[in-house]
Amino acid sequence: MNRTFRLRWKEKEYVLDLGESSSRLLDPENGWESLLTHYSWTKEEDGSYSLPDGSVALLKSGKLYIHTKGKTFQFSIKGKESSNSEAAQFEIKSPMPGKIIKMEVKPGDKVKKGQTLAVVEAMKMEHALRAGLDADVKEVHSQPGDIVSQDQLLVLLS
Amino acid sequence: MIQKLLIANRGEISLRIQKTCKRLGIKTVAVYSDADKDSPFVKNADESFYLGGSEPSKSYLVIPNILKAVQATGADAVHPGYGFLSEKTEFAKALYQAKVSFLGPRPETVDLMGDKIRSRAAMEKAGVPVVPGYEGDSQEPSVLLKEAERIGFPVMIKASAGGGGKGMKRVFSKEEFLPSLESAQREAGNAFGDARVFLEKYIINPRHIEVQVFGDSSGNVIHLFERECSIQRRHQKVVEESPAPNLDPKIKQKICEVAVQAASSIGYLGAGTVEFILGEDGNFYFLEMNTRLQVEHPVTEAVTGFDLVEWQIRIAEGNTLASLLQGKEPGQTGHAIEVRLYAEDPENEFLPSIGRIELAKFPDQQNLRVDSGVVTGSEVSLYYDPMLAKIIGYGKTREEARKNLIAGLEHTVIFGPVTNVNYLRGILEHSEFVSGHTNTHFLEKHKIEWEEVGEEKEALAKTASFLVSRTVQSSSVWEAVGPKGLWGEIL
Repeated sequence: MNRTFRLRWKEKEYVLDLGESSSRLLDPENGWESLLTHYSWTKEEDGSYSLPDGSVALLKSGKLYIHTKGKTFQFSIKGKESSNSEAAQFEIKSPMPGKIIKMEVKPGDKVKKGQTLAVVEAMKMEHALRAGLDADVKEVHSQPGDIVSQDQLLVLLS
Repeated sequence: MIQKLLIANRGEISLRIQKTCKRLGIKTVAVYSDADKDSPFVKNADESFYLGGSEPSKSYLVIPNILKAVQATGADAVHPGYGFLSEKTEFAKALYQAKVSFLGPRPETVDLMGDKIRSRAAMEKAGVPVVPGYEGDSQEPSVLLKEAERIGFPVMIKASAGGGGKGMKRVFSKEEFLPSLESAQREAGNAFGDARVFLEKYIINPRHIEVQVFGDSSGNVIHLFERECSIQRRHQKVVEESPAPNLDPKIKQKICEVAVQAASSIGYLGAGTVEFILGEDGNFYFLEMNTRLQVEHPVTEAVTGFDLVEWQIRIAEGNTLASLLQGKEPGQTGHAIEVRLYAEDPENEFLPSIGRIELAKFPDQQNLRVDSGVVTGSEVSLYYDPMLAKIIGYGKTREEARKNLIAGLEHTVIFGPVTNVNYLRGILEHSEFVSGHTNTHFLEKHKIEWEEVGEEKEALAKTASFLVSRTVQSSSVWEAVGPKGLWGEIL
């Protein structure tokens, strides 16, 4: 059985090459790899998996959560999602569910890299969304007062 | 005697109050909003009452709705918890008028302490030290210089119309004062169109020390020792402990005495906290008084052995402090440290992280207390404070408490929203924290390391092994979702 999986963690993509009873972890950027021994995870009643050392894992909604040595890691395991693509820079999305409190641009505006485009507020905290490059504002999809969900497209640049 | 208590709050504090009520045989009423209808605190209460929409302004902050809940359920007392209406004079007043027992001080006390200027004046009158300053009308450089000398250097010049650091200058000596004043006035004038400034003593490396006090209806006031709450991020407490580390016993005694003096002077009733700012030189000044139960009250409970919610109830019933103490002197035994577990992302400017909690596992271990408001399946919404739980470690010594707490954090699992759990551990493991050198600049000054080199490798290794074992054993998860659906592309 030979399967290769892609995992994303913090902007980095890793390739997992899983062999029969061991797997090799390939990091395309740094080139390190390590051979791993095969542990046996136990399935718990709540659907999670555990190891005798206290590690806990859960698969849910395209995410893989691992809690090990007292720390939690969250991996995205949707294979096709490409990280940091060119297109992503033009799509300004809400980083969290919240409320738009400011929309500082309108279609046709020219914006500079670093310029604030909109401000989203959630739980009393404000978060400014800035342009990642010099661009033109093509479309604006929300206005102050709108309640938006995570990853909702707010502004489209071109 | 209180028979049925309505808790005008939500989340962990509602559950925590219910716990004491259950022990005392008092029935509980939870109130809830749309977003909270399935929350543990609603299910755990004996009764519940729907208040309104998810936004606090449509539910937890609506006094008439809470009065309706009191009437409908026949509750004879209300605990306000912290936040929301707990320090609103109108709420305390409305309950007094409705002849319902309010588990807090008298409305006039809430009113007085909620007003920065009046409370400061009341404290000065009672002989409680306040931060020296000058807020007079004169803007004459010679007058201001004289005032600065009276206050004692270093002083802070602040713009009256102020904000955002503009027109703010720190002055360490008499020689620097006039040039700094000129520049502060100019900056203030340019920024706010108002050049007026005021002076305040600048306190070097300040610590936030607060004292738990209790007053009864006979006018007696006692303290239950101090709490150290210096470790704050943007004025939000993150770590709290009792006793305060490295605090000169003489200062400790004095600060507790002054807190009692402050509370006595206003005839304080019930639980309250007097907050002080303590300078490196050992001088301390009144900051404000919180007329409610504090988030961090568990550390005081851990070292005194008292249940502060029980005390609030007994005092509201008219019992005296002497009857609660039964001839014993309050003591401070061992050490307790609390951390606040938040759904926020330390790597992303501490942005709130919201969503469904896919898995919540809290440790059950000795000398560890967890006050949590969430369970697996809970939804962390954008409507309320993102605090998920408070975790409190106890030990005979500070080091023991710290280790117990770290062990507790290691076994705290939250999958779904990102939490600050690793960051909290980073604070507890920082050498300056270990040695008990805390001040309010701690988190700005020290780099908190919460991910060691090699951890990424470790996590990925575990992940790989998880995938391997799942693949080989063909688990139900595997079959349920199918390889393509969840595991990504198969090359």
